[in-house]
Order: sequence, then structure tokens, then C-alpha cells
Amino acid sequence: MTVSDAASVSRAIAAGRPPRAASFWGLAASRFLRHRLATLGLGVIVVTGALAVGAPWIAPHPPSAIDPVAFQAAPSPSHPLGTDSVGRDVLSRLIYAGRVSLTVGILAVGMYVAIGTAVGAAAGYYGGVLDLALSRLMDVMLSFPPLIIILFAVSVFGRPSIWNVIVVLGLLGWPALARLVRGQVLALRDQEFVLAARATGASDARVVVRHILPNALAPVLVAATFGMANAILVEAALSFLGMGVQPPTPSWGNMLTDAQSLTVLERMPWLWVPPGAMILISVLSINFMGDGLRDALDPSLRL
Amino acid sequence: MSGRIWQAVGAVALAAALLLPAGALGAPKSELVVVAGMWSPPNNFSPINTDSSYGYYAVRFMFQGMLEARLENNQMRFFPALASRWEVGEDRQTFRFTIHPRASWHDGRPVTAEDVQFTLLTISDPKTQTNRGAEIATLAGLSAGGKRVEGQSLGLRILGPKTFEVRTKVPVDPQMFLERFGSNVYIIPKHILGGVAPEELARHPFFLAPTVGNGPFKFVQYKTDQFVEYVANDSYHLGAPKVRRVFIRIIPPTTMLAQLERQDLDVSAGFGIGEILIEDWERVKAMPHIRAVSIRAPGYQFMAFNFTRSYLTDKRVRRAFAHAINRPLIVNQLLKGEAEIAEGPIPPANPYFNKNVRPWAYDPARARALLQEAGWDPNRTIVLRVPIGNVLRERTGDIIRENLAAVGIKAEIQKSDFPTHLAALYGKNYDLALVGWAGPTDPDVSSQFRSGGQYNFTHHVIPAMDQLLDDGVKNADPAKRREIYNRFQEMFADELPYVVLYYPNGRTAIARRMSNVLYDVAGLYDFQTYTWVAGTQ
Repeated sequence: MTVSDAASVSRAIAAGRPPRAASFWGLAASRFLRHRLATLGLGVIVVTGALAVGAPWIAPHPPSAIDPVAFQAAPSPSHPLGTDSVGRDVLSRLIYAGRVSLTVGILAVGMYVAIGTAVGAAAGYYGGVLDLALSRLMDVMLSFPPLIIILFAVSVFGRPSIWNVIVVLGLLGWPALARLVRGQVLALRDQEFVLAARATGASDARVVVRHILPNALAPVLVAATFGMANAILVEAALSFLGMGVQPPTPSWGNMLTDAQSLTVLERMPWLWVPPGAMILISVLSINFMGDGLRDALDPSLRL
Repeated sequence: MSGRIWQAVGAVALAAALLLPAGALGAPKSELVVVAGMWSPPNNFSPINTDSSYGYYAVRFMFQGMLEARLENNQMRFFPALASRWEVGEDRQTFRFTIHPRASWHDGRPVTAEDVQFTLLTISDPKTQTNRGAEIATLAGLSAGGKRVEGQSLGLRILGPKTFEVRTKVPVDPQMFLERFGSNVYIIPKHILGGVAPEELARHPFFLAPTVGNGPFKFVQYKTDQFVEYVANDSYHLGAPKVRRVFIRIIPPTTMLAQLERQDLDVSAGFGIGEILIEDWERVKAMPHIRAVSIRAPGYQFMAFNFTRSYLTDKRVRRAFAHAINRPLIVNQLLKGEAEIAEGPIPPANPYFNKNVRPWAYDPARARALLQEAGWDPNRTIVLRVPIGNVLRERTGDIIRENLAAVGIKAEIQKSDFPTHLAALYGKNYDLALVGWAGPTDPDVSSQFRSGGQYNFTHHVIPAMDQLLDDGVKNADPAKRREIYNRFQEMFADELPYVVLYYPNGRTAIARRMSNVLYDVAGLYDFQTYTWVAGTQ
């Protein structure tokens, strides 16, 4: 049971209805939907996700099929967005590439949210030496230049691949989130409802998982959303450098590797505008969603 | 207050800009200044130990060997550099050189036979870090790696202050010897470096600012990762250079194209170190002020097989790969026709090239049949390693993977940076790997294809091939050698340690205002730079 639920429960009881746990989330959802940009962002991500999932049925060509007579060909009816430097259909690759970006975004962030929440909660709840040790560890990890460490880790972990990128992002991304969770837990652990739960003899794990974390969920969710945008950008950067997703699997980042000559940049926009635009649009959409979520979940706006 | 700070900053910036020499940044409008563009910086200017083609390109403006070599009509020809005369002994074992009477160091001291002796003793000293060992390894008294052998003396005799004679261990092909010893061994100054211990030489400050050279241009400065500046050596013994200053700018391909377009650049450095990207080629050809030159270059790209993998030892399997890879597509589409296909490591533009060895045709059906015959397991997934850096090569990897899939070979691409890639090759940790070689002018390719050779990445052991390669090095008669290497190329196409993918043409640009810039088959512009003439724009 959480603070917000407690309020709605008391209201529900007063109205003679059974308590509805969804009311807070219902309110948040309606606030989110009133945020135009956030709704737009959600729409774009849903469409991208649907395209990625349905890629085999939607894409006009297999993503790595080579058209032997059309290398770097301009858009045409058979290749609506033209072909890349080895004669593969840009539109099909663009659609398939969404899979990589979304997978990396969701799994990497899922991984570091799990780690960050556990570490942050432990540090905040137990305090003392454990807190000191974990906080210093977070400080140390936060002071590394992220892209350099990621590049290093990806090359040390054997062959570069999408799973590698996910694991490395997951293992390196948690400190900022852990810090956020720790702050939340510190603020919540001495609240009356937590003390009440402890007084009834609930175990530490139960107190943290059932009573504290649900109340710290909102900022985590917001941070995770922004984190997803960041993960997509990092994946694109790694793949552009050749250290991310391996060919022939398309990713928006490795599609951009074609754009390394002035002639391509100036005269063959179909090689780099589509993947560039997709990175821009998806990251922007996710950030809009994050803004909307933050506003929708902000307790100070609660009615 | 802050306004004043900005004024001061502006003044300092202006002063700094004025201190930069003309040509370092802006357009080379003058007849006297020439600007060359090169992709990467040299790590030092050591004539015996710089790291790469980039370094030797920069070195050759300042340091020379006895001769300059140039391939003309498939025949290697030699021209005087430090030496004015050279004689080949009838035994094909002794070579006598006479240094030009006026050949001198940039500080005015004459270049003497003692400098040559010092250079050879330094290179052959086991304690010296150098990559010139292979160039002198044929000399008497030296090991196969070009190092001195205990108890034997170096095959060099000083006959006079400017005359010396060198002796090889066994009779050699004079063409090969003159190319390697004559034009690839750059002479270093004894009066400057004579007192330095060989093990200290690699770190000696002289090699970061070699102000005393013997070539047509003198070192002025190197702005790290930006440019190298040279000034003409007016007392150069073959005539003062007509160009006053040369700059080598270190710029990426994109910048090179923009600067060519703006008429800010006179030459791109050449094969492998400063070329025109294939995407930009049509555009450069259309520039009215640029002469776009495409030559048959000696380098090639290949796919190596790891012979220590049991499933790649059957030569039918390797031939199936050669049939499966669509090389005509790679050449015609990816390289826009600016390349040639040949089934061996001796370039089509080389005098020793065997025309009768035809490349295996693109024939997926034949590939499938061969695989079936050899019992290839269609469920096996093999690793194709691709180094990052050469964009065209990376794209070739994508095409090869699709081609292999089409005949039922599952290959997974694994990219890595070049040092990791090399480590995998040496460590036998690959199935297939893409690499490139700047091919030789002399046909001796033992280091790559002899069992146990330094660059035998495929780790193959083919005794008959070893025999041919050994015969080729030992034989001094060009006609005999031709026969040996013809047989070697036939054997290569049969055994296929590599599938040679293509020989890309060297594509470079020379400003039309420049004359006497000869684009050598070695792919570099720096042949007789003292004869360069730069007109007005």
C-alpha cells in the first residue's frame, strides 16, 4: 500500500466503492494524453515498434539482398528510398533497423534499471557503511567518460554484437539511476507508512519492494525513458564506428557509415537522410514521452 | 573589461595566423608553393624506421638512396639519385656505386661512402630498430632478416671517398637488387648520428626534426597532425628544385576533396596514403583545374583462408569460395570499374605477371557442386573477419557474405580494429579474413607464401610452393626467374591460399598547373621531385 493508494482508498471507502488501485495511474494517463507532444511521441514509437515487429511482412525487400544492377541508386519505384553502397534497399533496411534500436533501448535500460534500483534501494534503505561504499562506487563509475569505456568494454568482450552492446550499456548505465533511487528511498524510509509496515513485522525485502519502491517508481520511469533515448544514440554511435551491431544486420548507426564522403553527403541524400532522420525522430519522440511522463507523474501536480 | 580581453585574444589570434607560413592553411596561389594531401600523419621521420608508407612519403623529400626506380612499360628503370654511376658485376654478385661528386648533406658536408657504410652497419646492427632489414638481406654477412651474423663481415668495400662496392651472398637478379638496395635504402648522416648507440637511435630527437638530409628538399617544421613543411635545397646536386616550398597537409579524404575543389591542393599523396574515394572519382574527373589520374596500382585486396581449420584444407572447398564470390560485381559496381581481377599475388601490371592464369569465373552452380563433392557441412557457420577502416573493404565483406549464403555457406562477419585483426591472423583465430597488400615490384613473395614466412597469415605449408619460392630468390637469371614465377602463379591459382578479390587502380589528382609530376607505378608522386614545376592557377 502506498501513499497515493492510501488516499484513494480512503476516498473509495467513503464513497462506498471497493478500492481501485488504478486510479493514480488512470489520472496520470489522462494527464499524459493531454500532453500533445508526448502523445505524438508515443504514437511515433508505437508505429516504429509495429514496423519493426512486422518488418518481414512490411519491408519490400529482404534487408541484405543485393540488387546487382543498382548500387547507390536514387529512389525509384522498386526502391522507394534508393539503395545503399552495396545495392541493398534502404527502406527495407530502415524498417529492420528499428528492431535493433528498440531492442537495445528496451533491454539495456531494463537491465540497468534493475541493477540501479537494487543498488540504490540497498544503499538508501540500509545506509551506513554499505551506503558509503555503494555511493563512492557510483561516483567512481560516473566519473568515467562513458563512450570511451563502452568502446573499450565492447572490444574486450570478444566479438562486437548487439547483445554485447546491450550488456555493456546495462552494466555501465546504472549508477545515475541508483543515485536517483537512493535519494527517493532515503526520503521515504522514515515515513509513517513505512514505519507502520515495519512495526507489523514485515521483512526488509517486503518493506522495500511493497512499500517504498512503488512510491519511487515515477522518477525511475521518467529516467528510464530518457535513458532509452540515450541508449539508442549510443548504439547508433557504436554501430557507426563498426563496434556495434555487425553487418549485414542493419542498424540506423551502421547505415550512416555510408555517409563518409563529400559526394555522398552532397549528392546522395537517400543514403544518410533516412537513418539520420529515424535516429532524430525516435530519440525526440522518446524524449517527448519522457517530458509527458514527468509531468503526468509529478506528485506536486496531483489533484 | 571583457571587451578588452577579446581584443587581446583577437590580437594574439591574428599574430598566430600571421606566423603560420603561407600554404599551411590557405590556397597555394604561388608558383613556388606546392601542397600535397595525405590521410594520416607519420609517427617520425626516420629514414630507416618510420612506421608506414605515410612516413616514407614524407622522408623521401629529404632523404635519398643511391637510385630512384620507376616502372616504365613493364620494365623497371633506374635513375641517379645520390649515385651518379652504378655497375653490375658479371658475377651478378658485386655492385659498384659512385656517389655524385656534389652530393652533400644539408649542412654542406659531402655525402660519402662512409655514410653508406654507417647506414648499412646501423640497419644490420641487431640492436637497431629498423624496418629496412629486408632491403639489405641479400648482402654478404647478413642473416635472412638483414642482421649481422657473428664472425662474418658485411659485404661492403670502400674504394674511395665517394666509391664503394657491395657483395651479395649468392648471385641475384640485378633488377631486384637495384630496386631493393639501390632505391629503398635511404642514407643517414654519420657525422650527426655516428655517436648515438644503436638502441637509442629509435628515440633520437633527430628523427622528429631531421634538419640534415641529403634530398632535394630541406625539413622546416612539422606541426603535429597538421602539416610538414619543406624548403628547396638550392645546392641539390642534380639541380636546385624549381618549387620553393612543399607542404604535406594531413587531411581526411572529405577535406581533400573540398580543398581540391577550392584549388587549395596540388597533389594527393597517392596510392594507399592519399587517394580519391571511389564515390568522389567522377566529381574529381569533372574538375577543370585537376588532372585525375588512374593507374594500375600494385596493391590488392584478398580473402585469406585459415589452413589450420580442417574444413578449409580441401582445395576444392577453397576453389568453391573463389567461384562463389561475385568478383565482377564487386569490381563493376562497388569499384565502378576502377579495378582488375587476377588470381594471384603478382600484379597484372608487374613484368612477372602470368597472363595465362585466368581468374576462376563467378559460377555459383560450380561452387555448390564443388562443396558437395568435398562434403561441406551446410550447417557449419564460419567467421569472416573484416578490419575496420577501409570502407570499400568493409562493403566487400557484406557482398561476400551474401554470395556465400547463396551457395550454402553460412558466414558471420566479425569486425575489429586493425591491430586486433592482425592479432587474430597471427593467432590462427579466424576462418576467413579480409586484408590487403601493397604488392611487390619484385616477384619474391616468400614472406607471405613460404611456410613459416613472416606474413604467412594463412599458416599453409605447401612444400612444392616453398621450393619454387626458394628457387625464385636464389636464381639470378631473369628468364629463369620468369619461368619459376609463372609456375608459382599456376600453383597459387590451384592451391588458393587467398582469393585475391581485386587490384584497385590508384586514383589520384594532380593540379593542371603542375608539370613533371609523374605518377609512378609504386603509386606515389615523389619521383624526382626536384623537377616539379608549378605554374600559375
